[in-house]
Amino acid sequence: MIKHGKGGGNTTTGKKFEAEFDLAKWLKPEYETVAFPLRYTRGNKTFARNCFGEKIVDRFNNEIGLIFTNHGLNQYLAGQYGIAWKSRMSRELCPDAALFIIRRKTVFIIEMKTQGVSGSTDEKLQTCHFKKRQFEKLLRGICNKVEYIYYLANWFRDEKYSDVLEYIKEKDVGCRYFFEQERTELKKLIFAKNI
Amino acid sequence: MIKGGTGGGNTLTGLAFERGKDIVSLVSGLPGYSVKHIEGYSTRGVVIYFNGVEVARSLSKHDLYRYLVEQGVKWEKILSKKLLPDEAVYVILNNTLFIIEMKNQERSGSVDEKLQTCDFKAKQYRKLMAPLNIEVEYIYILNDWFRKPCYKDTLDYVISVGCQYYFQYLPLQKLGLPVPPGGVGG
Repeated sequence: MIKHGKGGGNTTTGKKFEAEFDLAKWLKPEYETVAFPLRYTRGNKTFARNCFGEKIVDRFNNEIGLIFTNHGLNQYLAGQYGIAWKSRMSRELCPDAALFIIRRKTVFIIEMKTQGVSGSTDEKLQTCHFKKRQFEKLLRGICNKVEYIYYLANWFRDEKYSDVLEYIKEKDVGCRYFFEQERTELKKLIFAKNI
Repeated sequence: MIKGGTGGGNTLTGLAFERGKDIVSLVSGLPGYSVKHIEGYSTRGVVIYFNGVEVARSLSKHDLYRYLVEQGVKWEKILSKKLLPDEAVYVILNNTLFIIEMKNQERSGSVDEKLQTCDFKAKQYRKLMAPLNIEVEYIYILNDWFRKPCYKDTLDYVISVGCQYYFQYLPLQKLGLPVPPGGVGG
C-alpha cells in the first residue's frame, strides 16, 4: 500500500479497509500513493502516534489528493489546520477512508459495509444523512463539498434493502453507494476530470 | 423533563416512563382512562377510552401491521422491510400515528447510532400510513444516558429532521390525548 512509507499501526488505508479493498491497487495504474506521517501539536506537545496519511500522485508525480483512514482525517485537520474535531462535533467520527481531491476541493468519505450478516450494519446505512452533515460541519472551510459514499457487499442487493438504498440517494439526503463490482465507477466519480 | 433540561417534567400532564413501563400500562392507570383489548392483537393491542369515548389505539410491534391489513393496506408493497415500533399510538382526535421508540442505554453501544436513523424511519412510516391519510410523528423516549454532551449533535439532528425526543416523559398533550381535569395523579 505504501510506496515509500513505513508499515504497521494505523498506516495507510487501515487494516479493515485494506483487507477488503486495496486502495493502492485500485488507484493503479494512473496513480500511486506515498505515505507521510501525521503529526499534530496540542499545547507544547507534538503527537505522531505512528499514524500516516497518503498522498495520491499521478505518473508525473503531481499531487492529486490525500487519503486518510480511521483517525487519520482528524489528526490531519488538527496538524494542518489546527482544527480539533471536538470544536466542531460532539462525538468523533472516524471514516473507513477519506479521499481529499485537491483540484475539486472535495472530500469523499467512503464507508465499507461488507459484513455478510444481517444485523446492526443494516441500520448503519440509515445514518448516512446525519453522518454526511457531520462531515460537512467538520470540513467547513477546508473543502467545498463532501461526498458520503457506501461501498457495499452484494449482500445489500437483497430486495429488503431497496428502501434504504433509495433513501441514500434521495435528493435531500444526497449520499451515494457502490457495490463491490463497481470499483471502476467509483474511481471515475472521484477522479472525474471534467468537473 | 424538558428537552435538554434537567428537571423531572410536569408529572401532572404527562406520562412518566420508568424502565419497563409501556404506554398501555401508564395510560390505563390515569383518571378517566380505560383500555380494552382488541381481539386477535397482542396483549398491548388495545383501544384507549377517555370517559367511555374511544380516543386512541395502541398498535405496537406487529399490531400495527394487523391494523393495516384490516384496513386493506398491503404493507408489503409499500415497505421493503418491516419496521416494528416499540410503541405506536393512533390518536383518533388528531388522526396521527405516534411512533414512540424507547431508548434505554447504560453504556456505549449500537443503540447510539439508532437515534441517527430517525429521518429514514419517519419517512418509512409516513409512506406506510399515507394510504389511510394518517399523519405520522416520530418520538424518542430516552433515559438520562443520552444527556451526555457527546449526544448533542445527534439530539440536534433528531429535532432538525422533524422528529422529537423526551427524557423518560411524554406529555399527553403532545399526543393530543385529554388531560384529566385533576391532572394525571401520582
